[in-house]
Amino acid sequence: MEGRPLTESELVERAKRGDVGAYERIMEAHQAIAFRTAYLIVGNAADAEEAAQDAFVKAFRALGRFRRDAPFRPWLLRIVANEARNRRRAAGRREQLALRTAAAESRPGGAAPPPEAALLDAERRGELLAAVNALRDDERLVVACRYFLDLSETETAAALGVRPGTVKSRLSRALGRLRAALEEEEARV
Amino acid sequence: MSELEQELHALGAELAFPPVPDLAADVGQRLRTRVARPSRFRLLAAAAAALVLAAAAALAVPPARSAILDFLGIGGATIERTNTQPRAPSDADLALGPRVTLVEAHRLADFPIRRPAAAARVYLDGSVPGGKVSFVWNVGGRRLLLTEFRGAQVPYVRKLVGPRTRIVEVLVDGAEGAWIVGAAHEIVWRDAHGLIRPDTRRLAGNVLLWDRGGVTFRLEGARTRGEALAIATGLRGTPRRPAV
Repeated sequence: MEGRPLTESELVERAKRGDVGAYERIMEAHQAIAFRTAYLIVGNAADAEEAAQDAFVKAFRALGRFRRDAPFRPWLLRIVANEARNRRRAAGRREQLALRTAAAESRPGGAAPPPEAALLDAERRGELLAAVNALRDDERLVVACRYFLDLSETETAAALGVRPGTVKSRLSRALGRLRAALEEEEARV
Repeated sequence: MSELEQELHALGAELAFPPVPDLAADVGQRLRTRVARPSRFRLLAAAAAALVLAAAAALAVPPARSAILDFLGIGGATIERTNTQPRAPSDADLALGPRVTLVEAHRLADFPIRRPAAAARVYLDGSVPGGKVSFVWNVGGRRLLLTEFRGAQVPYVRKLVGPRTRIVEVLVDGAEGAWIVGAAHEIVWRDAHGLIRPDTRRLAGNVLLWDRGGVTFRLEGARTRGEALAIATGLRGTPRRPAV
């Protein structure tokens, strides 16, 4: 009987053999990122929840194809993003996800804002958010994956179903557009 | 990282995402029980698939280990852990209690017994409150076992449902039931000290489980769901007591 918690690799091996309990622990570690990735793509919480659920079920069944010791998260996010995109296509919705910031009062337990937030005053935050929301879908998505979800370039590529090089170039274009939009704002003031 | 990128990170830290649902639990549940349709009947399917600790007092839960195992028709004093299909045991291996006549079973059990259409050997386990009645008969070399006892849920039974196990909801003459295919059963029982203990034995054959009028019925040994349902819907009420 081991005294230490199992590594993800060990949990995956067990899950491959049908151990649903082991898979539940894997899911717990990744459900937030899976849900949020789906949310960014699909635009609403209900569809995001279903897409992420379906993705987890599919991933479980596809574990046979998963290479031992490969990083699990990018592989999972690719499946999540596929589910989310399918769902978005099927829904035919064109709703654009408008990101919002959490009001200070709604922060859990009245916690202080994270230290990085000190970088932005309310005004700047508002401008930046508006600029991000004004980006085209694919550019906004790549910005969100890289900076809001902190996915790696590989993971972003897997999630978006594109090559890492495409992620780089798309990101670079997006940042350029953001800068331009923000300078325009400043110039106006 | 450029200043803009730092600002984007800062923005990310402040974004309002909807609360993350408990996907792990939902998906875990889904993987364990693939039900044909969600329905209010989930309760019995879940009872078949999940540990039921509730209503212990209301149920016939024999305190002794062998009694619990008998109760579930699992077997005698020794439990084999095996990966291969166990050889069909003789009636005696099932430890169903003493053999009785149908009339005696009807008299001694405190619930209305239903019997299979086929001629069957009858056993009664009086150690279970209310009595546990079992019918055993053969069809084409296969052995069928019908067990009935008072209780709306299968007590202290957790059927381990792996990827190869399916639970399909069915209706047995309007009563809610579950057809459990390929189930490896994990039995959880309470020992003499009141501790819950797990035990595992692969049960041969598929199981049809249903609940009607406060009595749980369990049919084991049918090859197909159709056969199981045909037997279940073909059960008859017990004969009236002969006029004395």
